[in-house]
Amino acid sequence: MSLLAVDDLAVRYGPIAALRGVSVAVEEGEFVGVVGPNGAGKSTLLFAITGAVRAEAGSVSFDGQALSGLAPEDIVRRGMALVPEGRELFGELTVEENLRLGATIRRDRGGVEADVRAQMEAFPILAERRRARAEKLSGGEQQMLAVARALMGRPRMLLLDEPSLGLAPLITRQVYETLTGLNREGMTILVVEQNPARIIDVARRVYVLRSGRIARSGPPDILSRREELDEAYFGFDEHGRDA
Amino acid sequence: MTTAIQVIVDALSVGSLYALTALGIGLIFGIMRLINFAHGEFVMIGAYMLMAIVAQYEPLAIIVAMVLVVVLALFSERIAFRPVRNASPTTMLVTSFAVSYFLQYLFVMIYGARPKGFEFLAGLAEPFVIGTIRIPKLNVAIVAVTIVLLAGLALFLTRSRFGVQMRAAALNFRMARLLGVRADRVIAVAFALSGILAGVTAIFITVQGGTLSPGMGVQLALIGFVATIIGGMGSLIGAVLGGYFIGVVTVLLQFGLPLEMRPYREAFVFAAVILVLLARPQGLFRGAEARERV
Repeated sequence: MSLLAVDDLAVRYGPIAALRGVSVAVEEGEFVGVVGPNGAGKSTLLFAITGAVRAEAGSVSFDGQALSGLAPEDIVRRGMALVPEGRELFGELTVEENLRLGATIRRDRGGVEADVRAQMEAFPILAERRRARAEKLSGGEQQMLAVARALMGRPRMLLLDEPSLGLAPLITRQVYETLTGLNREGMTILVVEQNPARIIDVARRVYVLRSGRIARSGPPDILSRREELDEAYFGFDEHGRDA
Repeated sequence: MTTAIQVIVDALSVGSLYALTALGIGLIFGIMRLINFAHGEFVMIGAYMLMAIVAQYEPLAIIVAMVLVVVLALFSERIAFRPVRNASPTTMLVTSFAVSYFLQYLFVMIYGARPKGFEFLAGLAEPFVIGTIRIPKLNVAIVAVTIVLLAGLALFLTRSRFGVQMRAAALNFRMARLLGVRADRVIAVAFALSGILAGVTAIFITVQGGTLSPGMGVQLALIGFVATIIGGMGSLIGAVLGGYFIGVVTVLLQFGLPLEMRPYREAFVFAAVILVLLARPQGLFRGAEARERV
């Protein structure tokens, strides 16, 4: 049984169908990528899984339990943490406040303190700038803080939306090294990227999302076959409306 | 010199009442983008509750009235504002007008529309006399209590875990929820805090004015709202400073305007507000880093 099972999920923003029957499965311990052009519905997929956007039809289950109708604050308690596009840090709060907010769902004070220290050791820049406003960090540092904040909730699964957005190639590589490291330690990861090159080397399986549907899925090398990818990306219609 | 000190104390105490009101409105706006015009009615009802209970014992009246206003604030959130929480800002605004009018006319039905004289904590009307300076004890009490409340709120918002969660929710409600911050709880606490602020305002307005009427909260809520705009909507410190700004302008106009112009004081206050907004549409105290929430 898959840890995360998304089945025939449909989401609509008013008259616009953002997702039209998307099915995705992620096994425990897997590193799965979802790629697709701008506007394909990648962010919507992650928001629908985490309850921030309400689905019109279909179902999401995590660890065998249905999540439909649950609020985001309840879904995160089941063990899923989202690092959204653009990181969405609380810019006016300090680095440490942001980090501790990641532990909102936890009751074990001692464990939280230990994890704050552990995250600050893993990302020394966070210890250095702990009293600085989060918005004062560089893009790469902000991405590290966003990942560390998500980890503070001790999730079983991490969902990331374009973690490389706006980052220099070197920093992007660092971010992905962190993610593969986490995955090696057993963390299940679902990452969404616009640029397939980012995840071709790290993901075990990929889905290609286009116009709110899964156009392809399989091992990452489907992304390196040029003509298939072109068709998946630019198929008949790239604007989310069926031809 | 004497006059200057009296004007300053006056400005501070009027500004404190406006700041408390602006803060009550700003707390809720920050978290759910609702402009709660019914805040004025929370104050009005607090004042009537003081009158209804005072026969027994003044401190008891204060406690019971405060509790009732907090309950009223929570109740109005539960039955009126929660159902429209995800609706457009316009719908929420209209809802707050509906709650405001409903409560006003409920009290017209119960107590009648005519103002009622009501003396409460009469001892506060007497002044401290230092040489030639006479400062009403009430003004000192207002400023002191406001400072204590502001300090307490600031400590709560910066030092307590739940306070930080509230600030996070005000900055980015969806992200806060994605981290596990409970939407219902944060909003309920914001309404409860706003009820406490309304209750305290009710006590001081009652002592100061000596008359109650169902419409007494309307102008206050309007000024509180304007103060939050001047302060830069969404900033709590801005709301407080905006309240003091309007208080200072009001008292200076009261002091400086020729006698026959004083009845039109509010017109000048709001003219000043318009000037401020023409010069700084984002509010007086909003820094460059503040952005619109998408």
